Amino acid sequence: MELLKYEFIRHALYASVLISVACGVIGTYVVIKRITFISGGISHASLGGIGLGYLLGVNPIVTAIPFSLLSAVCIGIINRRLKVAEDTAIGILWTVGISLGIIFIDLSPGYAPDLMSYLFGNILTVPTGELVVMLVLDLIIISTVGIFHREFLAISFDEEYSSAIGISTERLYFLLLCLIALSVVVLIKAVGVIMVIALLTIPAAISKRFTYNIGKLFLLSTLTGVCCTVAGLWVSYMLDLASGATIVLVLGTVFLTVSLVKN
Amino acid sequence: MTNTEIVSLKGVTVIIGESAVLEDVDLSIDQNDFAAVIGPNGSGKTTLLKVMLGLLTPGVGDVKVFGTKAAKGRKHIGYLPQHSSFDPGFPISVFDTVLMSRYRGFMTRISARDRTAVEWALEKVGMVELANRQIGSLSDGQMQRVFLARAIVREPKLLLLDEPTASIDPEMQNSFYELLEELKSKMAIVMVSHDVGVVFAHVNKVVCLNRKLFYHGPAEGAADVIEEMYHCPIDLIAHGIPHRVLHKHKQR
Repeated sequence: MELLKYEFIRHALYASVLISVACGVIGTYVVIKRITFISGGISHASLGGIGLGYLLGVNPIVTAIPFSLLSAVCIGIINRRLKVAEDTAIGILWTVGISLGIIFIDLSPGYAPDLMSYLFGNILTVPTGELVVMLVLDLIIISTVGIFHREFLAISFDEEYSSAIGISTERLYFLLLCLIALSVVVLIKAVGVIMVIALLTIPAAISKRFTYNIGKLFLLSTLTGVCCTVAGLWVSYMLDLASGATIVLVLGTVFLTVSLVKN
Repeated sequence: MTNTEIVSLKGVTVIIGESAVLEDVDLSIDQNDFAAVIGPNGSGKTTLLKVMLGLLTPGVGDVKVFGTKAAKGRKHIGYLPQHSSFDPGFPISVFDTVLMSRYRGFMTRISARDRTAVEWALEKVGMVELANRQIGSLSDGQMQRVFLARAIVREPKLLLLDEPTASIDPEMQNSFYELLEELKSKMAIVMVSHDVGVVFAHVNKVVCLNRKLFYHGPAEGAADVIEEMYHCPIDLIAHGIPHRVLHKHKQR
């Protein structure tokens, strides 16, 4: 409790809640629609946006937003319009995004401070401004899902049938990819671009073992996210380990335990 | 109910990849038709249904469904696909799977009437008791019944069924045809099937398809065409020896 007197700890706790909302809601779709690696592609490609931030001298989180939205749309177009296989589209975007990021950082004058915190996350260094950005993105995510929940559920279940009942399947798929892109931005500070898919999949994968009601799944995934990130934060603080990696290891351990017990 | 035309296909050609799956097909379905679509594997039966649904737009030809474009007309259509590709672990109950089909457009809410319709549809296919089960926990036959409920819950004016009896047991097949007899007064039915013998007892129209339309009319006149199309006598098909049919077909 005495830890709470430090501002950076309080910020880290607020950040835990904000990232858990994104991973609870969007992570659920990622898991049930089985688009983990598309999400991985978008998250890795967002490094391009981080690099652009360094190059332009602005907060990389801010430039990451349009960049990951763009990569989400690109992955959708490569996959749906150019008739390229999904895994190929992911492979292209994943590496092109990272390469752009590296080139941008190369071109930036001087040394790139904090680069590691974008790659591997550092939830202990979230300033107030970024908390606000995360909050706004969360609100966008929640309200969009609130509006399009029926459509998202249907296209996650069966895209062809969704078209048959009059849902604009492709547009909604693109919208869902954009929401994933926004979630990626929310999650970058916690675990870094490399490990974002952990937060987008593990909480929902754990919760899916307990319920098959999608509403409950949102809630349970969010709660799992909060508990695991806070626990990871605490463990990393006590043992002086990297916070992002510790959070992912806590999530992995919980997933393994739940899977063993439930089987 | 007046017998107005609800589906009209004129000169429809669908090309997938390099080859024509449907070629110059003219077809008309009326409001009180119960039609069977018959044809060998790969003859374009599923494609024909997808054209009516607007899931496939033909390269050549004109499609009118309820007097308008197929993509608009499909709000009056209930559809049972041949295969549904979905994750068996998908977190949804039987009830919600059927409810999903009551979708009427952007920003529409689920009403009490939607729920009543779901209960009615599940009752019709005998799946009320399993309404709260997770969809993937059902057997193939039970799942097929749920997907039939999903098609009829839309209270459609046209029901498209793609090999609906493929995975249900004989007892269920009887009640399935009883259900169709009951529904046909309320909606037109177009059904893709291989059970030529059983189907002929129920339908008023037969559509024989093998890339081109071979026959389109009353069941009585269809026998010769079917023999020609499958290249073997009708009684072989009618008595359900599908491998014979396939065998002959390959040797063509």
